Amino acid sequence: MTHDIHLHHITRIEGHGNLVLNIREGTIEELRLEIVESPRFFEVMLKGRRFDEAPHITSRICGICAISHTTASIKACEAAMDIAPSEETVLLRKILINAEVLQSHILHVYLLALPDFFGVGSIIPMVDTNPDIVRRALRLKRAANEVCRVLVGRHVHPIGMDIGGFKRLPTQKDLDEVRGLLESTAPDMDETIRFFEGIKMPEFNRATRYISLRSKDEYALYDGRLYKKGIPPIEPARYKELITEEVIEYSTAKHARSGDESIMVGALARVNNNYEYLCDEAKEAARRLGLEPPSTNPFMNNIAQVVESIHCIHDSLKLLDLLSSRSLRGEKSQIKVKAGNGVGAVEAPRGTLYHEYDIDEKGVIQGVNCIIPTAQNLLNIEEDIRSMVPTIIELPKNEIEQRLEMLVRAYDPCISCSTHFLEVKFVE
Amino acid sequence: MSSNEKKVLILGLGNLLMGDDGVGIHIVNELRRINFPDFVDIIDGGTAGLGLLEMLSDYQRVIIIDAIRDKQGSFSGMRLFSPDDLNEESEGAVYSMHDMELGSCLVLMKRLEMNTPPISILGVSAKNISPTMELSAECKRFIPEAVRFIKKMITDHTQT
Repeated sequence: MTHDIHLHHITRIEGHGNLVLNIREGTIEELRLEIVESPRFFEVMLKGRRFDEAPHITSRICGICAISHTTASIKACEAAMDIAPSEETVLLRKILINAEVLQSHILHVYLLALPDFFGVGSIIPMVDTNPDIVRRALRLKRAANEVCRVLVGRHVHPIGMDIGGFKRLPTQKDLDEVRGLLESTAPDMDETIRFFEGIKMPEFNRATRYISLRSKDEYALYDGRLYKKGIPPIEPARYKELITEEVIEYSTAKHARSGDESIMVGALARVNNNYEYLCDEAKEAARRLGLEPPSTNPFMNNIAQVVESIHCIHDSLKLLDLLSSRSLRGEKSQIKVKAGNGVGAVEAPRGTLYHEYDIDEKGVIQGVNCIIPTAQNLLNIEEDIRSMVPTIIELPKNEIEQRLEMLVRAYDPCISCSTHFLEVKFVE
Repeated sequence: MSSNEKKVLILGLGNLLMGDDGVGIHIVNELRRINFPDFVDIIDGGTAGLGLLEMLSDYQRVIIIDAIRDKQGSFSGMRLFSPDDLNEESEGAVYSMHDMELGSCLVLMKRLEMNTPPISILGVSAKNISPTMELSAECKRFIPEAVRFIKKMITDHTQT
């Protein structure tokens, strides 16, 4: 069987890209996940700027992951200058990361991935056929965004977050409002679990290397050491021992790997690596939704996102209890400008995000490296496609195309972080 | 009409890190220097995506400022259009860089029977969309005109 397929313009991912796939006599001759637009040279943009501009500039890289970029940037600056944030600062940052993960996962599982399972091209037709589902998704997303608004002004470009602390500390009234918002999600999240119990993910398994932060104390999103099964966890500052990036001829975004292996980051990687730290409610959701770690089915990343959404809500409520048990003092750590190198790693919704800065004695950034989650998953997506195509090669072309698009979407790729556009092609 | 009923949103969209794509944000930053009536909110919406949906329904009138891309590299300047023109414009001379997000939000709002205020879109032609925080000279020169135009729109709205 021969297919020269250009799968052109994968929809419902955050960005555009091309997937070129040429199949001759049942064998893949060519497979390229292309990123066609010039990369955003954020790294170059930061060089020569003061360190305290970096969190605000990098918050603009992505409208979905603004808090993650801001947090990674803040952590890199703090690491470079030996600034230790207060406990209350860390608690608040964890709530913000939870809220961002929640809003991003809800956006993806409901509005971007779900139309595949209803056989429609986008969420728009579902407004007429399944308005309750759409309204539920929008309510949940709004609640998560509102948490960010109350704490740091807004989700997109969180102006309240800062190096060493917060520009304005939330009041107890703000924290109560955040609690109310999170508690209000309970009926919708219960319904979300019931709903996804009825959604069957495609069967496809390929074991790969799952990388995420890992902590001894908690389900690691804000902090931890880097973990890949089979090796002891390492400090984020040593990330280059675990992750290498390379420029691919056909893509203007860098692809990452670990040694000779492709890797997967994101919700499924985190659940696989840190399942024991999920809250009981999230573990129960995983059980009901058939997610048994370690899962090697990339489509289960969708389910892992539902499970993490449950965890983020319950974990935030616990963090609020901790915050309320102590008086908010608004202490901001002293910043003493000095030369240094710092790495900030955080679990963004789509996976581990790294910012590394070299800062000189005047506080000017002289070197930058930023690795986004999607760049880490690109090679793994290609490997999955290579493995999956022989299992679906007998299907009609439109079904092959749909299955491959679903696979790419399951990774929730956000190409807009690395480039402005990504399109996917099937060549014929 | 009470002030509450007049509640107006001036919303800049775009990415400040992508050159002229961020012109809407540059313009709202200029507008912030002006003392508008209390019923006018000026928001830097960045690349808010579906977050727009939550923002728009809270207002009685919305003015969006965004970059537009001309057909085949021409540079047409500044123009005012309505959301109804958006799809039509996409086929022709210009379209918003963020049309899918804005368009999707508006369709969702309409289908969900949410409060959808009258919306005007002030599009400014983008010359250079690439990773830089600087605007092109061609794009920058439209900022004063855009500011004057928005001021007049608010004055007209106040008098209605």
